[in-house]
Amino acid sequence: MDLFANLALGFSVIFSPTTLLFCLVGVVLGTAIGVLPGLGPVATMALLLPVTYYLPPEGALIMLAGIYYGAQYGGSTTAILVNLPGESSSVITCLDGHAMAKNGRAGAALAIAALGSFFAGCVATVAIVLFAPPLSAMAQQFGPADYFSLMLLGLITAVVLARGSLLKALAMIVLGLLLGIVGTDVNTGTARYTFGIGMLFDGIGFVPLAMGLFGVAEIIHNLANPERRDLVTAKVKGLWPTREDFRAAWPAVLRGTGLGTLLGCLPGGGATLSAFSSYTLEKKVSRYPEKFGTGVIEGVAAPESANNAASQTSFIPMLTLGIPSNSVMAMMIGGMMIHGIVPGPLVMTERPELFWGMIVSMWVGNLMLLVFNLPMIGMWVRMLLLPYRLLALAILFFCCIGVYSLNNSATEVLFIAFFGVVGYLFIRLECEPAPLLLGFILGPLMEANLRRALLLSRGDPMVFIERPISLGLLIASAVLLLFVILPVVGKMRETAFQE
Amino acid sequence: MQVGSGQAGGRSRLLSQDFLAGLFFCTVALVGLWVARDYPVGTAMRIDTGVFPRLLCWTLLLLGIGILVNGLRGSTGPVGRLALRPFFFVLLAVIFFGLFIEKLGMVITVAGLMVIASLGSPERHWRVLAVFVALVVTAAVVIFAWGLGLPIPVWPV
Repeated sequence: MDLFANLALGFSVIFSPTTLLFCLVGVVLGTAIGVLPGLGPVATMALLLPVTYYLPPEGALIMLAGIYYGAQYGGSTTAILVNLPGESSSVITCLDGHAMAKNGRAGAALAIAALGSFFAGCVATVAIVLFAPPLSAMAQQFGPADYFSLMLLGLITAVVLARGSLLKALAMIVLGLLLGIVGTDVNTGTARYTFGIGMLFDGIGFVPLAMGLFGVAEIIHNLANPERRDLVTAKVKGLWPTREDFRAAWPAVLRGTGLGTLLGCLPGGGATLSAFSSYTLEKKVSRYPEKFGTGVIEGVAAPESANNAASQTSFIPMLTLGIPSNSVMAMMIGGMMIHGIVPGPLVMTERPELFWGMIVSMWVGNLMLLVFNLPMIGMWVRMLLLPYRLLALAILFFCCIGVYSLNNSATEVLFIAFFGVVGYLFIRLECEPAPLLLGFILGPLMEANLRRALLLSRGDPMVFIERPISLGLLIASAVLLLFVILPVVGKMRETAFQE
Repeated sequence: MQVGSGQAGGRSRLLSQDFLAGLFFCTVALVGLWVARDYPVGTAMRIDTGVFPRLLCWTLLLLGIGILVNGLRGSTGPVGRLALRPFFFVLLAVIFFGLFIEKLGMVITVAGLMVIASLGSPERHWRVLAVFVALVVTAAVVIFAWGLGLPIPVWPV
C-alpha cells in the first residue's frame, strides 16, 4: 500500500536527530508562547521566519508547525491557572478550567486538557493522512479559472466565519489583496503603487508586514491596557483525574475532536472557532447545563480537544490547495516561500519528504508535548512571573533584529514601524488584521490566475461560469454571502460568538 | 475603554469606529484609483497592469462607503482615546533602531531600543530594567553577532 510507504518516508524524515531537535524546539517554544499571554503563534512565527532562512526547509516548516499546535497546549495552562487566555483559542477554557483550579482541582483540569489534546492530535493526523492525498489529486485537475473561484470562496468563507463586522472584514481582505500587488508587475514589468520607493519594487515584505501588524501593534495595545494576573499559586497536586472525571470527559473529548477536525478544514475555521462551538455543543447535550462555568470537566475537555484537532486539520487546505485558511497558515506559506517552495497540490508529488515529514512530525510533536508538558508545568508557571512590560521589550528587539537580518536593510526596520502604526489603528477601529494577511498572500495568485484564465478563454469572461468546478465554487461563494446578508443568520452568528 | 463625550450625539458618531474605518478605506481606495489612473488596461484577452488594482479599489470604495454609513447610523462604539504614550515611545524605539544600527552597533542600539520602548509603560523599575537590558544585549551579541555571524557591528564604527 502506497500510504504506508509514504508514512515510512515521513518517519525516516522526522527520525533524524536534527529534525527531531527542530520539532522539539518548535513544540517547546510553542508551549512557552502559548503560556504567555500577549504573544501568539502568529507573532512568534513572524519573529522566527528570518531565522528559518538558515534552516533546511523540512526542519523550518516542522518547527513552525510545532509552534502552532504547541501553543494550543500551552494556552490551556494559563487559562486554567491564571484565568487569562494564553491564546485566543483557550478563552473558553478559562470558564470551567479556572473554576476547577479554584476548587483545588487544577491538576485534573491540566491533565484532561493535555490528554484530550493528545487524542485530538492523533485523530487529526490520521484525518490529514486520509484526506490530503485525494484532495491534492483533485486539485491537480484545476484550471486557472477554477483556482480563481476557489480563492474567492476561500476568502469569503474566511470572512463569514471570522468574528466582528462582515463589511470591515471584507474591506480588510480587499486592502490585503491591494497590498499584495504592490511592486513590479511580473507580467509586464510595470511598477505599481511603489511611490518611487526603491524597496517597494520587490513588493512589500511579508515579514515586516506581519511583524508590524501582529507584533508591534499588539505591544502598543497591551502596554496601554495592563492585565491583572490572578495566579492560583496553590501547589498543583493530584495530577491524575479520578475515574468519574474520565467517565465524564471521554465523550466530550470525542465530540470536541470530531467538531474540531471538521471545522479546522474550513477556511477561517481554525482553533478559536472550534473551541467556542464545541463548548456550546457540550452545554447543549449536557444533562446539567446550569453547572457549566462552575468547574465542569467537560467544559475543559471538549474545547481543548477541539482547538488542537482544528489547529492540525487547518493544514489540509494549505498543504493540498496552497490556500491559507487562517493567518497562521498564511505564515506557513510565507515560510515555504522563503525556501522557494510554491505551496499547492504539487508539493505532495514534488516534495514528498517535506509533505509526509511534516504530517508525521505532528504526531511525534504531540507525543513530545504530552510527555514534556505536565512535568514542566512548574517551569511554565514561573515564566508567568516575567512582567509583560519586560517581555514586550524582548519581543520588540526580536522584531527589529529579525527584519534587519533578512536583507541587512535598515529601511525594512522602518517598515515595521509603519505597519505597527497601521496595525494599532486597526485595533482601535476594531478591524481584524487576519483577513488582510490572507488577502496579501492571495493577491498576486488571484491576479495571475485571472489573467491566465482570460488568456486561455481568449478574453471570454464566461469561462468562470462554463467550467463546472468553477461554477460550483462561485455558486457556493454567492450562497454563503447571501446567507450572511440575511439577518436571521447574522443573529445566529452573533449569539454563537457571544456564548 | 474610555467613553467619548455624549451618548449618541453628532460628534461621537463622527468619531465612531465604523465612521473612521469607512473614511480610512475610502481614502485608500481613492488614492489607489488616482495613482492607478495611468496604468494600462489592455484587452479582455490580455488584461494589463491596470485592471486588477482598479477592480480592487472600486470594491474597497463601495465597502468603505457601506462601513461609513453604518457608522453614521451609530451602531458602533467610539474610538476612545489613543494610547499616545506607548504609541509614541514604541515607534520611536523602532525608528531609533532602524536609523542607528549600522552606525552605533549592536550594543548601544539594542540597549537604546529597549530603554526608549520601556518609557512607553507607565511603570518604572530602573534596576530590574538595567539587569534585563544587560541580559538581552549580551544574548544579542552572542547569538546574532558571534553565533549567526550577522554583519552587524558590535561597537560604533
